[in-house]
Amino acid sequence: MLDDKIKKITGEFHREILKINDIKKLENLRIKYLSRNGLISSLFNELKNLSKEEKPEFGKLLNNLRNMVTNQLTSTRQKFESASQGPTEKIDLSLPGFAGSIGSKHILTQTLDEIKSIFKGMGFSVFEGPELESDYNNFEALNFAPDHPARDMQDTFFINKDFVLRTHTSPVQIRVMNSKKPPVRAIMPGRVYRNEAVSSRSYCMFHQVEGLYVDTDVTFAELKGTLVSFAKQFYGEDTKYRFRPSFFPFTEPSAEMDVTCYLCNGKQTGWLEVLGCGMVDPNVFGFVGYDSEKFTGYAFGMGIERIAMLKYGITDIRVFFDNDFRFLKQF
Amino acid sequence: MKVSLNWLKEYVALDGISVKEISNKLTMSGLEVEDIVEQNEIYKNFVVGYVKDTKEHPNADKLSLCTVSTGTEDFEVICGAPNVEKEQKVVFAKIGAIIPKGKSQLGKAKIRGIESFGMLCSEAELELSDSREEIMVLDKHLKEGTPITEALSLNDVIMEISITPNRADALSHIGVARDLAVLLKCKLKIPRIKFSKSSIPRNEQVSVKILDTGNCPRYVAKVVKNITVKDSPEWLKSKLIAIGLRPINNVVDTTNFVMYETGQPLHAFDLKKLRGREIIVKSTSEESVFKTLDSKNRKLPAGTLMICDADKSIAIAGVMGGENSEISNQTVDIVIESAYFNPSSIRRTSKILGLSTEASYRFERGCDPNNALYAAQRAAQIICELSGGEVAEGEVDVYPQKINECEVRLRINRVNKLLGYDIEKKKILYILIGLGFEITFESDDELHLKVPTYRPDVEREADVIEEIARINGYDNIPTIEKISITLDRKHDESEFAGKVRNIAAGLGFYEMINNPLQSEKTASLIGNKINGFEI
Repeated sequence: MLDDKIKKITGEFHREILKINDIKKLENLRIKYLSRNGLISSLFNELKNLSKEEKPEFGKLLNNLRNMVTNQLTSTRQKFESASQGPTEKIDLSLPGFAGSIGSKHILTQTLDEIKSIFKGMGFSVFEGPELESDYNNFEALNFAPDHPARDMQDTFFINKDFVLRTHTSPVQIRVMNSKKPPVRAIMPGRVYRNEAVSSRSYCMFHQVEGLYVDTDVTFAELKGTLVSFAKQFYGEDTKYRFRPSFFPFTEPSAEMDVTCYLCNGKQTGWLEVLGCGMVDPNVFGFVGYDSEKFTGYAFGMGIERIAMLKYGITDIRVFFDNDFRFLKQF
Repeated sequence: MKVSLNWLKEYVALDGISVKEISNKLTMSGLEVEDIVEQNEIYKNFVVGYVKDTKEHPNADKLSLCTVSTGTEDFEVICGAPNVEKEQKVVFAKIGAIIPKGKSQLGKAKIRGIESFGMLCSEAELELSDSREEIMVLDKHLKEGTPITEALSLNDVIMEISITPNRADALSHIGVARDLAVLLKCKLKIPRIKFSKSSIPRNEQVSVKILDTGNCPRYVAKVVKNITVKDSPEWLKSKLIAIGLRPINNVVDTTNFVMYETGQPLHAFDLKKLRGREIIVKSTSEESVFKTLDSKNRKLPAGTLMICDADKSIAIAGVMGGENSEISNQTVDIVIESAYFNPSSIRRTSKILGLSTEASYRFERGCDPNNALYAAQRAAQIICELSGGEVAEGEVDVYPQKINECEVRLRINRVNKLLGYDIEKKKILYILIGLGFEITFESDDELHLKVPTYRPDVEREADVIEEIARINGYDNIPTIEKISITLDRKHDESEFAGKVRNIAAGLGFYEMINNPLQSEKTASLIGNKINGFEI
């Protein structure tokens, strides 16, 4: 019987002490349990009614109970007392955190990421190729005949007779077509090199992204549709565009696309040349073993630096490669 | 290339069509107009001035103080030119004029304490020639106050056209006019040749021998005798000045004029300086040195194609003539060369010598072998008219193996297959005939064509389709928004590097992009000695 009472008081004490929120209620609780007329004292009074054998066992249980209650009350009291000495500890959610500083990707990478994401949305894969390229892939298979003035369009770093630093990303077209039968629907970003004097407008190294689509029944009309969709996503929905005939050895017919750039907000006026494109030249299909009667295709290419310069109003290409921290941190 | 609108008008009727429309048509058909210079604009504040009086500037020895009249008003002008004199007619720039050379605007200026209200201009300042020291003195009969655009016929419009490497045919005014004629649906007029009967017998011609017919498939030589070398007339000078050339004399100016008219580079030799009345075209067998007409000694590798007389070289074929056979003021008899050289051979020579000329630029892109005779005749005729000479009878035209037109088959349905829309056959025929193609066979779905030899870039069906597309206008190609594609597996070779970049940026790194081309010294800073190599 006394056993049940001990269990009941223990339970009650645990429930009650959890609800205590100030020192006064804690004192009341102490009086309720530990004072001379308190609950625990009254249990000790009941010991005398027990048998000689039961007395020590229950005495021990009651002592444990009293110690437990005493300890709990003391520690709770200490908690309240120390809390009342200083300001109440509270979490201020409006304080800034100690986040380690976050860096950023280079603005050219960010620009390319945006271009990639638009074309990936239109079902293009992404392929890459080496910067050190064979003369064959860089020129010959792209229908640049040896001794043709078209070779003057790109000032080349020659490594030796057979290898060059690629002057455009177009050789990746050759690599992709050599590795895979049509359909091919891919963009090919990368770094390219030109042997040009370094100035605010040209650098010996820059980045391009190339696009290629080969399948049965690919037409110039689809090329226009694809690039116009890209331009509107990238330069803004109100962008005006035009396609002008041009010349590249690896496309026939060839075109250049000009846009009016709304993102540039008056920084640039008139038509801006943004990319070159065209229908893949049948000679290129010959070099990679595609049947030019069965398949048609289009290709396009654009310079990332040029696009980023237009979009962000950057007037000197060299700042991209100076890696001045003040520049890098702006993006 | 600079193209003069006045010049173009001689081959195609352009009256009533705005410059803007002409340049837009050209740009949108593949001849990109990069810049338009209107002489009316440039020279709008320049008038004929009459120098009423000159006296010395009180504070400067070399300056004169001039009173210049424009008929209605007199201006005090300070002039530094040594040749300024009383009663001259001069080019007077009013306050506010923009001086063509340097593009600065003329304001009132105080020079050594005295104010100057305008400027007397030199030809260099007007960008009419290189003559810089002296002011330009005009014809006494010009009325003061006349705008110089009127007095000097400076009313041309010059278009700077960027010509892509495939369009050798467009490196001339007739070539550009041919495109314009098709675009504007009018006729191309090519000047006719008329020679009066010659009194100079055939045996006064030169003989031509080609020893390397692979590199020189055709050589036309035209002898003109009894000429007087002198300044060209104004019409010729102003045409050359308009496109940025310096007039030299009536012979050289004519060969330049005909090159910019027809696209065929010409060269004139002094006949008296040729030994044996003989021209031999051959490739050198060993290294040699040759003095070109710019007085520079050029080291020529073996295998350079040369023009020679009986015992010496007289020109580097297709690149530059030699000093030893140059036209001078004493020249009376000349030989005009109009040849077709193998483009690769000229390109090789020009590259090795590091010497690119207007002639080599055209030859290496491919001239029209079948236009060589016309160009020679045209030049001979003009030189006769300008210098009182006479053309020797008959032609010296060595052309052992005629270069024929390339033949191409066009399937009408391939036009749609490649471009994605139909073009009426009637329209296709109009475009191709206008560009000079000959139709040798025609059916509902096929055309057989002979490609004119001035279009070496057109060899295949796709090339012909480009011609049709560019003249019909890329704007007319539909922009379709719905396509069907073959479903392919996702493939992104840049994905891993992209993830690394994202993680690194999240960890606080800023991405740098470096130039991998570094000096050996910089590259070795990473610790190990790096052996660089030259590229």
